[in-house]
Amino acid sequence: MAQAYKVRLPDGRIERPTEWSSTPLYSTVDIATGPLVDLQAFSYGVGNSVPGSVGPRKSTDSDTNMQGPGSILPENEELLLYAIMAEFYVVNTTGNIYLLNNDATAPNPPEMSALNMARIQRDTLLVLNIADTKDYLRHPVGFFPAGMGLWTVSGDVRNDLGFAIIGGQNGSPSTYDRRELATPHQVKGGEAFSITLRFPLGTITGLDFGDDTNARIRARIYADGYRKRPVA
Amino acid sequence: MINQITKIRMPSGDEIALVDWSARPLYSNVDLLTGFTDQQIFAFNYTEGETVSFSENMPVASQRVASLRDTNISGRSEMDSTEEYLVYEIKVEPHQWTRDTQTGFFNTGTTGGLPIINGPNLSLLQNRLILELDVSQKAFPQAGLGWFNQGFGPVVAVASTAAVRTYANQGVASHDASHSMPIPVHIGGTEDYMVILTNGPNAPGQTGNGAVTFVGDTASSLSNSMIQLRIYLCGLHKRATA
Repeated sequence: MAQAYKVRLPDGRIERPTEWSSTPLYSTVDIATGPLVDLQAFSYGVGNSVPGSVGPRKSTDSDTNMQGPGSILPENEELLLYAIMAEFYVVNTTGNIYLLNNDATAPNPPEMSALNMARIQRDTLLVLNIADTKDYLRHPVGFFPAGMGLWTVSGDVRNDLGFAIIGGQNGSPSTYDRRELATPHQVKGGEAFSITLRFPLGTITGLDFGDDTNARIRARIYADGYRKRPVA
Repeated sequence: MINQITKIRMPSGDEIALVDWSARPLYSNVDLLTGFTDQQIFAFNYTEGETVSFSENMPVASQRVASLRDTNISGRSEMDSTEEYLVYEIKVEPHQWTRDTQTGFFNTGTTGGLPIINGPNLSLLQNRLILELDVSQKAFPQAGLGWFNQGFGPVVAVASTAAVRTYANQGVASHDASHSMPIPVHIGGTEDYMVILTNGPNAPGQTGNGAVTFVGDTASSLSNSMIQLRIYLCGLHKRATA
């Protein structure tokens, strides 16, 4: 069915029935152990391959809500980006409950351990690129707190090695604690944009899932702000 | 049944609507039994007296009739013709229960600390589930479950003799910690709306939805565990005054 996104009035003016809403875009990449290349989020739409994943696997709604081929905002949309948030999970293969190599205090997946979260914050940059011309933001990923997640206290919970578990997240799980940019970044309809996780050292030092070579750190990245979409 | 006076036509022909706006949250529960594989689960699709939304693996004996504790909406999946809503926040309140296999009812069982949810299960749901608010079949806020901070809940202090488990909250239990949309979502009278929970992939290479299995803090499977998510739409609610 055709989409009516422009109306020409009798006097020649063109009106576009669009609306602005607070609906974040999100996209997922999977981080493995060992050598790493740039992982570009928002580079695929639903049904395309997830960067860094085993297989690679085809994305679903839980990976992204980016429509179209990815890497480009649809012509009839616009984004005023006020905040970028990154949340992380551990995804392991069935049967490997605790991933304890170099991480004796790891909690049960998918909860991140504090140690692995610190390693990721130490070794990973988040890069915002618009129109393939300029890196508008290029900062360590800890600069972009998730502003969501678990807020936990625990009793005397120990893992199989007998160590007390220490969970970790990318910043405080409070919306108030996310970083809001003083000036938004505009992505126009039809403009290319990407948010990339970059690993200057070529790896995340110390990240080790032992025998479970298919385990991944799953990073879901949100681009939040005002989003314009057609109404019909 | 008495007719409801919602509009008065003045002699001049002007119409005055007898309505008021109030800050009244709408809420709806969904029951998720461990091991569920549903691709989508819906909320706000039942009213008081009807069946609470449940995962497909829920035995018949455990499918509950909704009470005011489950929902306060007046029309399933549709805003009443005399009402209107401006949604500013969506909050998710999780609780964890144990299913009694004899009666089919849910209670706190023998697990200390219930119905406070544990860390692994809340992290699992935040990873696997995408929540979206659909209005007139268009997705508005659509994000991982963790995005929708609860903004309230028990503030737990643990004694040294506390049960060996974690106590988790959906984000910091503070009103300031919940996400308020600068542009609200409008739901007009008679407009369709629904909250949809979408279940994503499981193992690293898996495509499509896999089973969501709840566990204890020591990774043991909880065979009769149920997690209830009470989903709130918070904002301004217009209703007829008479």
